[in-house]
Amino acid sequence: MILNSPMKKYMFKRILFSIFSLLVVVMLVMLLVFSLIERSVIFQQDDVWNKRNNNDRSMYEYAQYQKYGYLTYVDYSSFLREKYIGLYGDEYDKEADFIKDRSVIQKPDEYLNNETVQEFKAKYEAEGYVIKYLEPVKYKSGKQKPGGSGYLVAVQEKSVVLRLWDYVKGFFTVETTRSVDDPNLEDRYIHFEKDPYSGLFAVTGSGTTHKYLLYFDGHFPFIHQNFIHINLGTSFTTYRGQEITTVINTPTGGLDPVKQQYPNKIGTDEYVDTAIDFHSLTYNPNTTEAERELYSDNYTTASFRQKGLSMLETSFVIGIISIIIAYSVGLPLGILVARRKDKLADKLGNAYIIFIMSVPALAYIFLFAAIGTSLFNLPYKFANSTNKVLAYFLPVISLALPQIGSLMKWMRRYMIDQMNSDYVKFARAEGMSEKEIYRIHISKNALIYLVHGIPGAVLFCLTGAIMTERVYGVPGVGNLLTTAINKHDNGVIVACTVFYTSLSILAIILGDVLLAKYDPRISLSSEGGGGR
Amino acid sequence: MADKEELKKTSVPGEKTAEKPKKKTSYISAKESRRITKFNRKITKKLEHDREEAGKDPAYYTTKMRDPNNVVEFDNMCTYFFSDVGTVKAVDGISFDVPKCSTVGVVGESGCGKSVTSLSLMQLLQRPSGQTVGGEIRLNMGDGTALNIVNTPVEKMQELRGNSISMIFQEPMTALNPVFRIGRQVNEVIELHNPEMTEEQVKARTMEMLELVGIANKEGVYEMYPHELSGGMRQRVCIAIALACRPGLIIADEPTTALDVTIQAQILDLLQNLKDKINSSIMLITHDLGVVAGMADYVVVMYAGRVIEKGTADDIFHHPAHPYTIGLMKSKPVVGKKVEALYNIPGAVPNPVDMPNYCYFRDRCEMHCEHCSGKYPPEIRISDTHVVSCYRYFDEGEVLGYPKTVDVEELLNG
Repeated sequence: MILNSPMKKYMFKRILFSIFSLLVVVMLVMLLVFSLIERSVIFQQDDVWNKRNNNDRSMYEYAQYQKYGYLTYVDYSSFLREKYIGLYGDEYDKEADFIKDRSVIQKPDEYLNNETVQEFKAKYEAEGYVIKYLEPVKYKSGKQKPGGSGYLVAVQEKSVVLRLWDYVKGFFTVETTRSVDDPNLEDRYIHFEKDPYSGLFAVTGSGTTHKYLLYFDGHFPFIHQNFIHINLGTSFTTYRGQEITTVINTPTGGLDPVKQQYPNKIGTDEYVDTAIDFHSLTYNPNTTEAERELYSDNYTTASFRQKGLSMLETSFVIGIISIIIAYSVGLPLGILVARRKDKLADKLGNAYIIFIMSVPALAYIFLFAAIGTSLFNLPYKFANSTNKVLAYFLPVISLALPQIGSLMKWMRRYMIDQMNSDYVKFARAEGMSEKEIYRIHISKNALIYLVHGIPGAVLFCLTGAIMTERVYGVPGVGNLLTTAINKHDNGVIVACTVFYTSLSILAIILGDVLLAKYDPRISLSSEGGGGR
Repeated sequence: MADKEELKKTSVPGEKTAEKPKKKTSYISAKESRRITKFNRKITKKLEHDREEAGKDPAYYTTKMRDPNNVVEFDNMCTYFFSDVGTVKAVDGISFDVPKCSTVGVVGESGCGKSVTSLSLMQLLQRPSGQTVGGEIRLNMGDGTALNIVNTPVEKMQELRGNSISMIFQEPMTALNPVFRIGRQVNEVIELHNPEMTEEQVKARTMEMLELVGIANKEGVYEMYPHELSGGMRQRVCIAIALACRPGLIIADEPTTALDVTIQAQILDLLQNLKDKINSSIMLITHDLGVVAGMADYVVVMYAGRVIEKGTADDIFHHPAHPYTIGLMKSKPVVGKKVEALYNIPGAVPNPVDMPNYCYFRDRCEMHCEHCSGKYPPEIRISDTHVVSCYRYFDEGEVLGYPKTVDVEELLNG
């Protein structure tokens, strides 16, 4: 058992605190991006905004602000439409009442006397909206300016708390048999069945958004689930309308068609070459008969199979390889230079450490790139290299070498720290050889200081490396946050915040657990006072 | 009183006083500092080279004991530290024996060379700056031969450490590796020196040792980490580790200084009992005269890197001969005796970098005589077991010989 009982209690507390601090961080970031930063900058390069004038431009701004998540607004005309559809059906726009109510807002003097306007005002003011009247803009001649027609809108700025609540509410979506809101669908279930595409079993559902809830396939991590869907946030500008989790998880290569069968054709010999990923089928209420012929049910919307790694995977692969290299080279080198303190090896090691620490990251990344491309003929730009394996070399080396330097530095420092401790003298007096003392006694004690950082190092591979990825043109997640900030993609900013913050919190918790496992003097418990 | 003043005046003309008085400050010019560093580098290189050469052939480091009933014989051993401020003669020509199955107490104030003596015996000096430059340390191998520790190569020493000689340190709190279980640490030393033993045998021996040192809950302690034990328990574990291979000599370097008085008595009792059980000798290094009185058969009194008096415990405690020892005896409190203030020896130990070439204790001595301004006093035997280095006994005792010091300049050139 990894965790004992007081530790469980402690971890529970830690996780609660973590969630709380995560919420606080999200709230602060929301306050920052939605309230403190000037919002009109989003229209700087917007052509539609430039073309529109007067009240039309204001209405477009409201629409955009709502899209970016700054506020919610209701237009009087849509209120009007809904009201008259209820009263007269589809032919509502021919009714005299409707025409009268619609045209009244073009008359600034009398619109307030209109009953429907009063109804609109009363309804939305009660809900906390602010009613704004955009007066018709006219030339002196009385003719309306372009885009100058009058509007009546109810606007509500979202408070930070409400915004946070909405975000948290939409964070997890759990699949149930009631997920699909279609009265025609009667057969609702979740059950095991044999998966014709993998040959293994799968959990499938009807009435759920996804058809396959748990399935196996040949792609990492081989077992996939659709029970719980996590929505970190939605992109507004950079990846129009897509969820961030989808963006970073979708492979970036081209379509990958394979020979396969439509669900309804299984058992027959009708094969098609298609890139449709039948495991990703979702419910489509507007399924046509032709589609039903192929799919046998209403689950007809699917994503496509794509080649290559997703952004997240690319960053992680580069990061994890560099970390494995860094730890497997840096730690032994640190031990070596500590043993050879003040000898030639130590001096060379120190020279390397000082080089890596003093030269700016960008400078040595370009240096490695120059050396790698000229001396070893390695591909420079990731995207247009033909050999995909060779393309990983330079980014990995550029990430690993600085980490080797820093690991060497710390390992050397802690080894030297431990070299003069009493237990080393005692071990010598027991007759152990210097080699054994270094290998067994000192290095284990010196590693105590480094163990805590290992989970963090692994987890932070997921955030990508901004500079390295830029220089080598790696399609990773490193640029996500900077691009989002540049483009005022508030959804992505919040999503990145949540992602990075939870990684940090997780890294620290895992580091503490690992440290407690490694160092017997440390125990995690909320009671306090473990050892002496 | 007048006589004493007279005496002081007449005693002044020595070899040293003819020179102009030395500066009292510890300031060293940059030039001097460079010279020292260069010299140190040269001499340590030469000494390391010599040691390597000597270690190649067993003939260079195999000798014979002067007396086969001794476990260890120190013979004019000199250990110097080549420091940045000059050569520190930490131990300069000491000679004493550790007989079989006995306890030898080495006493002296801080910095007198007690610990350096023990570290030289273990070859655990901080090399290359610390070097045993002269004399012999003979370790009885039990088969008629002896090893001269001074020249023994490191590989051979690693076999001896923990096996023939083992050491118990002052600080039990930090002497054990904090990240390993107690059982593993005791097992480790047994496995190291008995590679032929199986795992079960090793564990059985560990259990036996833990029981031997008086740990009641041996099964539990076997699985514990050092931080879960008290200081006394940890010292017991250290003793178990030190004694696990039945060494012929146990060096106890102030084993009870860090412990409280009740535990101190238990630990000393334990050491004494175990010594008899496994027929080994103890070299007990301490500055606590009470501990020595209770345990030691023989006592060696050191002062400023030299042995000034040695003899049986009875000799030292009841017939102290050297003025320093007499001063020490006077300075310890006696139960039932009322005194205004405890006696203390005036003055301070001379600077180790620049030792005088007369008796080191002369300037603090209340009994010094004309002779004292001359050469450093020889060892003088005043009874069968009692030897003292003081001119006061020059005429009545048998002169054994002067401590041999090593001229480092000569060492480099010769």
